[in-house]
Amino acid sequence: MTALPQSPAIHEPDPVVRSHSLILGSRLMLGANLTAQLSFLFAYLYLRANNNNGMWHPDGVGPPPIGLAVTVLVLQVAAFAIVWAASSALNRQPVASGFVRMLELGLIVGVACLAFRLFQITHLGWTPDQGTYVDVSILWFFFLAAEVFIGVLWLVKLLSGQVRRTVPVTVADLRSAAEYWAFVTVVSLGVFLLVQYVT
Amino acid sequence: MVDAVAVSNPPAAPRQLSRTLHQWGLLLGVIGAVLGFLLGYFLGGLGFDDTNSNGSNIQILLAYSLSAVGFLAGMGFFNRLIGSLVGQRPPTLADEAYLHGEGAGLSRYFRLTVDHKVIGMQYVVMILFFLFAGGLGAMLIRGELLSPQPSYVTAESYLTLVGLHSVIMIFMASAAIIGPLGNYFVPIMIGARNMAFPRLEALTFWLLPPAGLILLSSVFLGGFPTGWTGYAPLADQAVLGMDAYLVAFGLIGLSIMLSGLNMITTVITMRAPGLRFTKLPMFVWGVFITSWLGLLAAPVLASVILMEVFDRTFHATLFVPAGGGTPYLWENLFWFFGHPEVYIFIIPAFGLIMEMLPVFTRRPLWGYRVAVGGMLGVGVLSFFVWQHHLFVSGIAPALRPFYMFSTEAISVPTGIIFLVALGTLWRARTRFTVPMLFVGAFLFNFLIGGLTGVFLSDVPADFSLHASYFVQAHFHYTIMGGEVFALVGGLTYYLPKMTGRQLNARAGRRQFWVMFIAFNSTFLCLLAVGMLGMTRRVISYQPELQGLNIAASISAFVLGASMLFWLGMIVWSLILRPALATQKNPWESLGIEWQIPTPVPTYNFDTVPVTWSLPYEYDTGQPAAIPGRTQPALAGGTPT
Repeated sequence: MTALPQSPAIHEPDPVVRSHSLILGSRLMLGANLTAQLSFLFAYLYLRANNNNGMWHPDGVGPPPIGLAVTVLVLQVAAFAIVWAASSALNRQPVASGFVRMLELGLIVGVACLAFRLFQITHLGWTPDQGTYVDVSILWFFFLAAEVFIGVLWLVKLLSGQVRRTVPVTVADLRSAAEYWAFVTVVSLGVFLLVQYVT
Repeated sequence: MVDAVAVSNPPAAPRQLSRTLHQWGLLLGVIGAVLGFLLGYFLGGLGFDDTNSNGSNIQILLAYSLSAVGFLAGMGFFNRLIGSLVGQRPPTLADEAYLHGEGAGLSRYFRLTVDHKVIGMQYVVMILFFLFAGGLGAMLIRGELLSPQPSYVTAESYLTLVGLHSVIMIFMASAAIIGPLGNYFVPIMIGARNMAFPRLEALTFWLLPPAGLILLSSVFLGGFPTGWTGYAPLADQAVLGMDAYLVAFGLIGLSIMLSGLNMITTVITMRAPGLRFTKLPMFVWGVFITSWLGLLAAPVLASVILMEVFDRTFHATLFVPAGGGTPYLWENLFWFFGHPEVYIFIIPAFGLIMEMLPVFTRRPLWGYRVAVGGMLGVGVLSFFVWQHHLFVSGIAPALRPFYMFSTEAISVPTGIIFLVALGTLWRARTRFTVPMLFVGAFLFNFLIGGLTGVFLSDVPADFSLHASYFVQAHFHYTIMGGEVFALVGGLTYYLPKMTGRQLNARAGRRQFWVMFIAFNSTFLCLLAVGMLGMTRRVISYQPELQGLNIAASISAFVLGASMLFWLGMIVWSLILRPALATQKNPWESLGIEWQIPTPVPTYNFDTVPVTWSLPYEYDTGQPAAIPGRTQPALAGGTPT
């Protein structure tokens, strides 16, 4: 195999193309995420319809405590709303730094959401051998917790680059993050309604 | 939109943003495995484990998973993520040059690089390794089936052997064309200097070696009895080797999904100015359509694998009827991924074949847009046929007609693609070079594979042929006779561009004919034994079928030998044959990939062409585009 010739220069992609790629890639990832969520939805409804051996929802298994579930959902919606507002603020005034405060607040609320979600999972009072309603719900909650964790990491990455002035946040960066939080919030709302009321 | 080119000379002392395989990857992989095992032990002590198999599933699952994470960490995949989390400065141009492997010689093939051409070559080596590993399994299977009763393999080991062969081959096939040729040539064919997400591209490759090793390690844990489909509830009851299947398939699914995401984004956002979708090379179309399938189908695989892990590890019963679950859940979700997966194998092969066909017929592709429509049709329909795999296992009878017709309907766009191929061949003065021979073989083999598939989509026929060797031979006609023949032809075609060396044509012709005849004599025999009632995945068979089985086995050995010969030809060419001239275009192709120097410069183009035409203008001899004769432009840019 012949060695590659030395390139005389480095060609860096256009920032505009990079932004387009980031936004498109992020949306495609949401599309992939959607099919994963639809798999869980299919499993939920399919197992519910089958109810093999009467073990979809055996006696003594109820929906998760409503107070905790609502708390998680409210925190999720709040985190999304704050990140979305930060994205809008940056979009309106790209040079202002007001969005950073909002992002910090969004991060705190996101972490709280994650903490409450984990608390909820460990305090459901269920064990996985109590039927398939329990199994799908626990697995789905784990999946959502992982999604929130990724969202939190994303915010940390944006914030640390911005605060340390190493990688300033761009409109495309924040828009992608906001869309991701919007997606996870919509899914969380759907899961909440399903698990609480379509038992 | 085209802005200024950001060009500068690289400063000295780049950061070591990636490490080599032997330095850190393997070490952290082993450390990850040990940590996972210990963590599993700890969690097992807390009661988080299943007891229905021969050991601790959670220990094995965590050991495998953390070994993959450790391996990737060792290769440097998390350096940038962690760096950005703590606000480290982004990579400089020197760092980027280091990641491109500039001046690194052969060592760049053993570490994380972001040059799509290096990644393409890495894929070539890995694909060939697993093709031959899976092929060795096939030889062992055929050797065992020389006798109607078990000889050197037990019935249980035979299941593992079949399972390993099938999963390795599925694993290999899912990346066989997109991995080496897609990664190498798609950016060049669209006039880009790199992929949209180069690190992601590297990740899609480096996910696969741990997946392969984890899969192979299953033999030390008792193997897995389910074949590549991993059916529950057998998977729930299987020994620890099943955990290897789950982790490996999960990693493969992740790789397929991320590869799809990257390819789609690259094709949409990185095309050179002037390159409209209506001028994309057929191979790019094939990769683009396949990428959508991978992006949307692979997450379903990931989800269902998570469910199986949950069953095996946490006493869940998602697939166990006594606990409220159902195996049909696995079957539905698995095949929702599994059937598009088959088209993930074959659509890039369609694209590759149609890329080569005009070159050797010296004619424009007949019905370019029709062919694109055909591939789109196959891609879309592939999501609506999965339940034909459940005809026998008991779907609602009312659903059968829909899935029968939707499956039969796929033959329409496939037929359109054949029509385009035949239209291009019609009255052409074809050059029967070695790659062209493989194009012809692809059409012949895939025709048999496709027609046998139409039989199987028919519910009554499927009832009698299901789980027989007829199905197995049909599948091999499409994947081996289709994709692998396209891969061998494609590599023969593109090797001069990738390596500067050309395979020996005379030896190549002989290898082709042996491979083609041996392949057909193997699988025609297996179609016959399938129709006579021989079931697949079973070690023993009726004695009266021994003659056909012996014929199939001997043919398979010849087929294996022909593949080994082909590998030998590649090695011989790389080591002993002289390099081609820099501007050599041995096939006289008009594609842009043949208009740039060999070896391809690190950033592909100094100036990106902005005037494009279809790459198949063989009636006028007009190349798709000529780089270096147009104004400087960026890689990528919003197409006009």
